[in-house]
Amino acid sequence: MTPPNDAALQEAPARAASATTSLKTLLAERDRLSTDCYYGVTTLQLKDADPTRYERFYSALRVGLFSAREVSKFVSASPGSREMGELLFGLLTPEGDPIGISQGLAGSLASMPIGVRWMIVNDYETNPGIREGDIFSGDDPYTMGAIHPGDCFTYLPIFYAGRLVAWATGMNHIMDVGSMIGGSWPPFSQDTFTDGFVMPLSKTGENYEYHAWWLQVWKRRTRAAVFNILDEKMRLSGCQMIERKVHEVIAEFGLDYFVEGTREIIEDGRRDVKRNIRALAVPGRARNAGFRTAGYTGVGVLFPLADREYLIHFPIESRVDGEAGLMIDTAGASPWGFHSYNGFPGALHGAAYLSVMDGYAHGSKINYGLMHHVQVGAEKGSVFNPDYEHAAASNPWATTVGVISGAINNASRGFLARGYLEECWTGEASWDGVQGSGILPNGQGWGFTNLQFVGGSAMGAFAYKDGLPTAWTNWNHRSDIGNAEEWEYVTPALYYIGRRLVPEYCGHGKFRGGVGHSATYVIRNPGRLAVNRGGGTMARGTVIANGMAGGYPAPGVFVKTYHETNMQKRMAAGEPFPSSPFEIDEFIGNGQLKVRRSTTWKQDTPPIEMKDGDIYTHASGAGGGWGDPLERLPKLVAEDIVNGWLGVETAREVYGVKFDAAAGGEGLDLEGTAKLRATIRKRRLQRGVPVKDWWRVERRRVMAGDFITTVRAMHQECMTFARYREEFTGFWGLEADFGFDDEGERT
Amino acid sequence: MSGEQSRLETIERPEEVSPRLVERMLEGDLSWEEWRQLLKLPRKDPDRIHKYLRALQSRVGFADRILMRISDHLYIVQSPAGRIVKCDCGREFGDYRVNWKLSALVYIRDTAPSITEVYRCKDFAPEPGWSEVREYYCPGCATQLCVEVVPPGYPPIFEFLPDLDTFYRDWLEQPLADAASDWYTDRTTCVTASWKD
Ligand SMILES: [Zn+2]
Repeated sequence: MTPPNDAALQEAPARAASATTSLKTLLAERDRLSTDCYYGVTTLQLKDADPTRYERFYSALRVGLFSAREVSKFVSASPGSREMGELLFGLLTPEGDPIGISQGLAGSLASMPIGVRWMIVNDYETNPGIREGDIFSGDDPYTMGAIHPGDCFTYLPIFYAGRLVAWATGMNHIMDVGSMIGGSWPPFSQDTFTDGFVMPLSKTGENYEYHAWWLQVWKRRTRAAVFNILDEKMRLSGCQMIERKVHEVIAEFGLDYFVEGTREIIEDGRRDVKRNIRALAVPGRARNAGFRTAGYTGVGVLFPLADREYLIHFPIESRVDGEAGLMIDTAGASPWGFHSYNGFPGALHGAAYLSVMDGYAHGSKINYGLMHHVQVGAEKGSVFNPDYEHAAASNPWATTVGVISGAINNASRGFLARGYLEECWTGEASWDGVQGSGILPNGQGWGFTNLQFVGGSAMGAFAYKDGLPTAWTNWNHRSDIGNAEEWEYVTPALYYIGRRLVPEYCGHGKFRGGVGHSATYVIRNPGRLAVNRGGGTMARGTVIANGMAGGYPAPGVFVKTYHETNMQKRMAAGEPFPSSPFEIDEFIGNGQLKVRRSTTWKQDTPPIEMKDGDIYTHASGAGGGWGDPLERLPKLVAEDIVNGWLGVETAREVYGVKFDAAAGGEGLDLEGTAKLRATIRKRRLQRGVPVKDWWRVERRRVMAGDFITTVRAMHQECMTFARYREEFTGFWGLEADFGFDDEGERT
Repeated sequence: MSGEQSRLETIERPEEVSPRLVERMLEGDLSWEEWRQLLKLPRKDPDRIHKYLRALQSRVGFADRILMRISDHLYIVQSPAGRIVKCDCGREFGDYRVNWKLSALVYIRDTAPSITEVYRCKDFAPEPGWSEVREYYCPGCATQLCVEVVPPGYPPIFEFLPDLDTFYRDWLEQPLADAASDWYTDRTTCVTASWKD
């Protein structure tokens, strides 16, 4: 090992604080020095002096983080962690700034500084004290920036020679969060008290061992104690691996190098992101928007404040300035409400940073530097920044994923303008998750979350090729939907009868989005079981409002259930059964499947009781299109038909392609296609009206408030913020104080 | 998409992104392998925009200088009337500071039958009343320039308003002759205000 005698370091000011400096003092110093550059690091002295040594230093730390994730996940019993890798480890400065992260749920790096800062500001150093071997755990969105309470964090302070030199942290998405409604993204939550087991950071162990009371809390306050306790141990194992690695690195490089070097790494990361924005973007303003519906009508018996329909609006505006600064702004978004889909800033920031990682972080060190450079805007009182600390925040990922998609699409506008077509794509993704709770026939209570749809969405179309199905999620760059058998093993009443890609389920375009996929389960021997869902955009709207270059935005999620069926009989007799929502329709149509009752949901499901032989099916993860569908190569349309992704009618109506299904692979009629496309273009000119004419008619409708109540309420509520008021009244030429009479109820 | 084997280019360094490669990119003629190599470049060729604008200019049928491409078919051009949005078919959409959608044709799908023509299954089709599908067409060539799916009454989304002077002056170091402080401004509401009777 090399002794710490680096020449450059000798010249560097000794900024490493002494063992007695309090964290509060360090944090104040960090804030004072982190205005433009990070922590007063104006030059990368260690990097410039010996770049090889510097990169070796960073690699050693990064290896520690990667190993922590890859090894510790086998401590977990949940397929979400063990198989799919829905977890993240981070190494933080004493002040809480991420120096580096592992692979996995990268957006959660946004939470990390919020949690540490909260402990410092609330004087945890004095009470309960922060000592070597202490363990801190929690999952509170408001105080810790956890995206949702399903994301649990463990923090381990790392000491060297008696002094706190860093923090290791690990997080993962757990199976059940002990909420009123079972699962980990509880719907129909009106405030934090129905969000489940929400815990601000607490000292949960000492000497690297959890206190017995903490494990008892997991047992008593959640429905998946075994999984949640093993997840907790997994996070601690990973943190200890990181701690050991940091000790090794300090022994080799010296403490001063560690302190200086980690600050340089962060500043280096900031410069990388800035350089990439300058290289790829265009100064200016790009816009998109997203909408999320929430049907809460009927909950009033218990929750009168929440008893209404919501249409949650969030603009996504990306502004690049002349200095390559980037602001991702949601000003004009809906106010927070008594529903599950509010988020505190950690959730929004995590989403916004993910879009930046996708667009501008290649070849960079992903760390706090990215967060320092990129600004994220949410108005106080809005759905992403409630001015009520007990607002529910059980599923903000339902809305913030739209921010990722919108911001990726915004970035693509800059790539297109500069000619970097290879980078242009439609970054759309929605997600879904079946979850629930019940009592098994043997008397054991349980709660669960199936994370498969969180592990893989289709990719949206690129500017030059179709999106791939189930290939991607923005929030976990090691995308994986897990093995069906693994999920069956931990969700004992739900048996997969199919995982299928869903025909026609994409945004069409010159290049189409990847088709989304479905999962279908038959329920066997459930005892008593109620299932529900957590998820992103539902099919009342699309994933994102504005499509790319004439392509259609991706459709949202749907859920269907079938009750009192003849599935038990069919299975006992060895007869075939359906494996997708569309086969279910066919089987019902030809009389093979008997169903007494069914439900279809394009909004969130309440808990639905499922009995033996019932079927649950859902589809998610469709990708958006790029470009005018009439420009799609006819042979690609024909291939889609032959592969079963597209019907002949869609080919004709949307793509203007004539295809004779009876002729199979030879069915493409090129001459007929050319004629049909010319006809469709003529039809567009006939049926399209000048926007000016549409505006005149539509304006009268706006003035009369001739919309469904929920849409009226959305406009009215968003107008409580100046940004939307100016936009709405300005566009429609209305008085500045325009309003609808029956504004949406907010109490 | 399927470039012939003999034309495959090897692109490992930014300098190897040739003007011809950029032309072939616009012709839709690159193989996936070539796109992949472009994606894997350690850094981008900083002069791409010049190769790109030249290639675009030679492809459009008009003489107005292209200042920026803002969508598959739309450009901000320097015309005698100032900086305007123009379709590659030649149709003009007016001042680029005004949302170009205001000069397009629009077709609204707001009923279940019309929405399910494009979102084919009722289970995942956007819901009338909550959402309407707006298709914007070029009045010149009938190309579908944008689709937005929004609640009724939602102002059309102004996709992209570049700050051209900052880009040309500070980033490309080639300031535009008509640079002025009010080019980076949203003028959309000035137009709709003029539509009131
Ligand atoms: Zn045109």
